[in-house]
Amino acid sequence: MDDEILELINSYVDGSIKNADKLRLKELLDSDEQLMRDVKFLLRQRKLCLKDKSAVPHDLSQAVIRKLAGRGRHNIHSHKFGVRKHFNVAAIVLMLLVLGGVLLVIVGPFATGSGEMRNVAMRTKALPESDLHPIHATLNASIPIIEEIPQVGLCNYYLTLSTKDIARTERVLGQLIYEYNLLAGVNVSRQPGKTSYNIECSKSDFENLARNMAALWANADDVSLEFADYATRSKVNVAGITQHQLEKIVTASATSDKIKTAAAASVMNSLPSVPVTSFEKGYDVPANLFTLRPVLAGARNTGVNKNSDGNYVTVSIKIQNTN
Amino acid sequence: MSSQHQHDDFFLIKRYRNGDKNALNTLINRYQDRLYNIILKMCSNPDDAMELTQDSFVKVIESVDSFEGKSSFYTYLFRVGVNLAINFCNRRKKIRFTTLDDGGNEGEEGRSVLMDYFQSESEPDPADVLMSKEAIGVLRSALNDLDEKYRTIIVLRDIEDMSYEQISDILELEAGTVKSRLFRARMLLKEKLTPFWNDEN
Repeated sequence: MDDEILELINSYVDGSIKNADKLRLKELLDSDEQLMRDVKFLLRQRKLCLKDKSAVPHDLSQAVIRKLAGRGRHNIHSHKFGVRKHFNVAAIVLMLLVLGGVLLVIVGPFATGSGEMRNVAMRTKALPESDLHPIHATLNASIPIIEEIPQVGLCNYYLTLSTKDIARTERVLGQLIYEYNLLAGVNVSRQPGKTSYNIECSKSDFENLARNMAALWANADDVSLEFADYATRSKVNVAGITQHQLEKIVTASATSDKIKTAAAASVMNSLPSVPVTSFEKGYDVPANLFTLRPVLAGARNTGVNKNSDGNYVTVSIKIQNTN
Repeated sequence: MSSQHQHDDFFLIKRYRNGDKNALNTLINRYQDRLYNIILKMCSNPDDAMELTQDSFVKVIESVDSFEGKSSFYTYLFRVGVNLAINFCNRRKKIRFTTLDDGGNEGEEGRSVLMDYFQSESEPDPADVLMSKEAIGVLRSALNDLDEKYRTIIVLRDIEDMSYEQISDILELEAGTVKSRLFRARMLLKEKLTPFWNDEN
């Protein structure tokens, strides 16, 4: 079908046909019965389409305002960098290889389901040596395979990553973000001169990204990770540690660590036990712990243990797949 | 979209940034219905559509400083929304499609409803049939079966009744491409709906 006929039909179907073209179209339709039937169908198809309207949820504007307020508090939009532009094909291939290795490392221990201590980051051998730090990783978990994490809708998750080495971190982060940008819109922002990043993406991308980042930086001594889910953090999440557990942890902590430990644990589990002021403060404090809580939406048991050296806490996670 | 509206849009954002939350309410109320409707048709899930609509507003409001005014706020907002929805669809891959051939009671009901609609010899008053949830449901299933680029253009033109110029701006496509893609999309949708059409009629 040539462009002229196509345009005539288009304009007739959506009512924008000019009078001068109507005669031309009529001639066409009179001489082609099938075309006549097609056009008739398309006309009614469009009428059906025009009827398909949905009501918008009432609280949309308030939800937007809440999101903007939350993001403004953490300066999410202060500085965006687009990594995508700076990569060439060779870099893509390299990243795929690297990430393939990383994923293998992550999936491997998950698949075994054993409870032994695992040194996740030690297994990231596909990464250049310069990107690995001395590892003291202690992801002591009994982790079954999570085939598929339920998608409950697109949520914004925020990951705060603090580091002493911006150049290295940004390079590795860039690789990860770029890789995931191939699949999704992932926004990364950082304040100029600051050493912390905010990462925003969808839940499913966050899950993948979090797994990779946790493996890359698990217990690296200059990087700490915090995950927070703005959509639910104001709610009580009883799937996390109990208040009793938290109190025990805080009690056992060194005085200087009490607030930090409590706040971080509270943020991690959305516990209401810490006053809001501490809660907010805690979120911004780069604690030496990381959690896969958003990843492990179905977690039934989590615990926080104080390390034997007393300097920081690590997070132990027991997971049950609720699918 | 009038130029007055366009001017207002940016003014409203400035007012919001100066602390006037009502300004943002006004802005959101102005566009939320159409944006939500478009995104919902593209991603087919109300919760996802709600989130994506919110994200579109947030993204646009936050990045408005870098907006160079090459297009209207309206176009900018809808471009962001459509791109977010497309990305989302591409990522998820497994949007809950209900194909027309699924069978089962729901499918049969939808089939029956559309048969009524398409088979009528006289030009029917479509209100009764078209307003039925079943008819719309079958249409949505057929839409969901389309490739994302065809679904998008049907949503923008035939559901939201946007002009070719607006679609061209939002999708950043040449006008000719918009028209040919729309025609192709309509014919593909027709193919999906054809099983419900009795050719004798």
